[in-house]
Amino acid sequence: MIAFEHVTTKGKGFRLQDVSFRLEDGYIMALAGENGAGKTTLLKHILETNISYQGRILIDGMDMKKERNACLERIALVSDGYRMPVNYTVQSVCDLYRGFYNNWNQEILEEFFRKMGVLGNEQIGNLSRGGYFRMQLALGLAHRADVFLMDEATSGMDPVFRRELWRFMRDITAEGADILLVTHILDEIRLKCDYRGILEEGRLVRWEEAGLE
Amino acid sequence: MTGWQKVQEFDKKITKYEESRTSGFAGISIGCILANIFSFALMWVPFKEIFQEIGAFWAGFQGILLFLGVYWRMQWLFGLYGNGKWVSWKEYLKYVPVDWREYRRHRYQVLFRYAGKIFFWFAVSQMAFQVLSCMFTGTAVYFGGILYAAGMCLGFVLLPGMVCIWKWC
Repeated sequence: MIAFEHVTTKGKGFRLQDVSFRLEDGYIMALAGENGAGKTTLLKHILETNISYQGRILIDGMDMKKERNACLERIALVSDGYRMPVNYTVQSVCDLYRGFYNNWNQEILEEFFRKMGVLGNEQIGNLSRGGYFRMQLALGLAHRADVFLMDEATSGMDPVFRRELWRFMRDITAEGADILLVTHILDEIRLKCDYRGILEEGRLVRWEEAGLE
Repeated sequence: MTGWQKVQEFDKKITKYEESRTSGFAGISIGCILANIFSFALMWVPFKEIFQEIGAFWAGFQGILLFLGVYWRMQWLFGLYGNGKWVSWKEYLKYVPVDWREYRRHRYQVLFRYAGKIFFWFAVSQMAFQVLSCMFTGTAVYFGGILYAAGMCLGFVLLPGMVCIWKWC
């Protein structure tokens, strides 16, 4: 479960203003809006420590400010902005991250790699964008995350990858995970997501079930 | 598992990987020993002058390698190269459940351990070849060198290492 309760950014410049929503387990929420409307900024409010805000962000009922590490145990990020050492191999990055998570499951990781055709000895810098996202999904699965934050994970991808990704997303939501997907693809929002939120200049102007016209 | 145990667990794996990926500090330590063997052999065995100069240059070259090794490890303390530029560990581990300060503390410990390893071998090899020098020259002058090398061991490695580990780790 992920919930925003009256989240307003402190300080000047671009800010979120009184954003509130609640996404229960097992659902996919699409977050849409023009460029610069605050979609990625909203994800940054969840993950980064250098943004101060009023209100609360809850992950499975825990306050992100108070129990940050416990919350991060449950969150997986899929984004271009997620940095990994480019000269490390996929396997060595997995070794790096394994040490930090309590619920790490190596079998799930290896099975996912086998299914998706990810090679352990490939360098991170040589992975395609799709490969990089697969790698991040694998990390999320391996540490048993139940909140997936995806920042334009389906944009600019070929139809095969998108189909594969949507199947994956449905599988994990069936097991109780919830997904917050930042996207520009209207068909996906209308046909494949459960909820949609529209952001405009940092305000959540609409929050409703997707598919309603 | 506590945060500290997590970084220790991480250290075991990633350090092993780092060492296999590069020649590593073991290689540089051996380099120090070889440098000493070559330079002392060439300088003290009465060959032609040119060999003495080569010996000196070789030792200098190894000194530069040693410096680069320490510099490289210092860089690793704070981050890694990614996408053609230097990126801090803080950036890499931004979304990972670990206390950044705890991780930084661990980085210092790794640095001291490796820097210690280099200087230890450097100093030990210095001592060994000062002994050899004594044998070649047949004087007791170079016992001063042995004391000097022992002092390096104690002064540059053990004491500061202990102080730093006590203070930061």
